[in-house]
Formats: sequence, C-alpha cells, structure tokens
Amino acid sequence: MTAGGLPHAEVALVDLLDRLLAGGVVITGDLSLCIADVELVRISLRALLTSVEAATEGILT
Amino acid sequence: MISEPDTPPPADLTDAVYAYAVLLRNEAAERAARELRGVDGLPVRILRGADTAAVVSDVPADAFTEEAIAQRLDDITDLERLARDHHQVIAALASQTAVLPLRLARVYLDDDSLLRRLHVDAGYFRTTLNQLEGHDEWGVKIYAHPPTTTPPPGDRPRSGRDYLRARRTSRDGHDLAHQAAADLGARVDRTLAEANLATDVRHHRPQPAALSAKPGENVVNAAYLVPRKHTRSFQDRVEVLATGTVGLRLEITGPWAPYSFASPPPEQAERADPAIPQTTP
Repeated sequence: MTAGGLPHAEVALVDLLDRLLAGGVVITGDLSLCIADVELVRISLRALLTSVEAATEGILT
Repeated sequence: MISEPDTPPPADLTDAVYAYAVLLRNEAAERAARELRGVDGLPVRILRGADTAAVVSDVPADAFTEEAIAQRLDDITDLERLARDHHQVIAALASQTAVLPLRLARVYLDDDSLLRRLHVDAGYFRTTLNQLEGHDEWGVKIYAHPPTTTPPPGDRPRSGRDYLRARRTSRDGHDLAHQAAADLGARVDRTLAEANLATDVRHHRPQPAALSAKPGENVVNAAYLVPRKHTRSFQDRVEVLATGTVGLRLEITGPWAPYSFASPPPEQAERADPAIPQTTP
C-alpha cells in the first residue's frame, strides 16, 4: 500500500463495482442513455456471479 | 432548385459525451488528463466550466445506447474492461487533485448538456471538492470465518439426520462469527471517529460470498474518508483492532479516489441540492 499515491496493483473488480455502481456522483442532464441505476447494479452483479459460477463449476462437481 | 439537407453534420449525430469526473480547474491535472486514455481506449479531454471542469471522452453514441450499455454490463469481459477504463482515468487524476468521480456509464448528449449541470450545481461541486481535498478513501472489509464445523472433505454425512445436525451446529457457529464481525465493524467505526482518523464513513452492501475468492462471509464492507496525513495511523489502528480476533478476517483496500463520498449520504440526499438526486429519472 502506498500512502498518498494511488496503487498500481490491480484492484479487485468486485470492490471497484461497489464504488462505481453505488458510489460516484450522479449528475442529471440530457443523458443520452437512461438506464436506471438499479438495473446497472442488477445486470453487473448477474454477470459477476455467472462468471464465478462458470469458473467454479468444475471444482464443485 | 438545390435543397440543403436540414440534418446536422454526421459528427453531431454520432458523438456523445462520456463523463468520468468533476474537478476544480487546475492546470496540472488538466494537462495530465489530456495524456490519458479512457473507455474503449478513447482520448480524454477537459470540458471547462466557470471554476470546475469535467473530464470526458467523446464516444460513438451508438456504442452507448441504453441497450448497448446493458449488453456490456451483462458480459463479464466487457463489464470489467469498462469498469477498469473508467477507474484508470479517475485514479490517475486522484493522485493529482481532489476529484469527484461520476457513477459508471454516464453518457451525455453533448458538451452543453453537461456544462449546464456543472453551472447549476457549481456550489455543490465546489464545497464537496474542497472537503475531499487531501483525503483518500479506504475500504475495510470484515469477513466472518466460522470455526470449522463442516466435516472434512470426504467425510460426508451418512444420513439426513446427520446432515441436519451438522447444519444446526454450523448455523450456531455462523451466527456467532457473524455477530463478532459486526461488532468489530462497529468498533472500527467508533475508534476512527473518536481518534479523528476518518472524517466520514459509508457502509456498502456486504459482498456476495460467491464473489469472494477466499473463504468466509463478508459482513462489513465499509469505506472511510481518511486525511492523507493520517494514512499510516489509520492502517495501524485498524490492524490493532483486528488483532487477536478469532474467526474473523479483516482486509483493507485502497487508497481509492473518493467514490463512496461523491454523493450526499442517503439520509441527507433529500435536503441536499435537489439538482443532484440519488437516481436518474
């Protein structure tokens, strides 16, 4: 961990998505796309979980 | 008679503006931003307002329609690429100046649309960016790691009754570990606040167990806003609190740009500038 600077090591995607989908400021305006935030979260979470299931399928069976 | 086509030039039809962050106008950070690559490897530029600026990329509008975004999010490879491209721009800028990250996948029709909001919400941006200056976000995740009550591999329950008994024992252990993790989380909150090592806190939803590569159940998923000068004390204090706890695992992540502190907390959102609602209409 480096104090002051931001880390060069790759951050975990799940930690990143916590912040990108629930955090961040929401500036309304003439958005060209109007996907609801709850949909952003739902779809991303599904993609994450599906990928984990696919990766562990061989181990669990 | 020659009639002029009354449609705007193609560029206006095909471009949209993808926004990453808002910052106070700052020559060094703006110069750094122009060197960056953003979503889909596209160049990054600065859109200047009066005293704030937005960091944006021009993107093909058809690659960022609602449907196209939904498809990207639904594919783990595309989702990860989009998230990391977005993050990379923000992380690079956060090492230079205070930034207010935008939520993922904010795409505006044009510069004017975004500039109008920069202007209307200028007060909120200025105040928040001044508060965030000199601070980093740090994540603290606490996992309950119940004492091994499950039979070792290969030792499968022989009957349904064996199975149910094992489940009951396992559940009691689970509840205790869960409570201990929540207690530790509360202790971390209290200690950091009392010692002025964190100026704000947000609690994210615990992460689904399936997403943790390591064993244990995520119970606490907190984010703290830590003055940069207290970075080491923050880490030391948190690690001391976690020392000696049984059945718990604590993980610190960061430093992060202040993603979790960019919006007003949910309970204050109603009283905050109504121009910045928590959700898009």
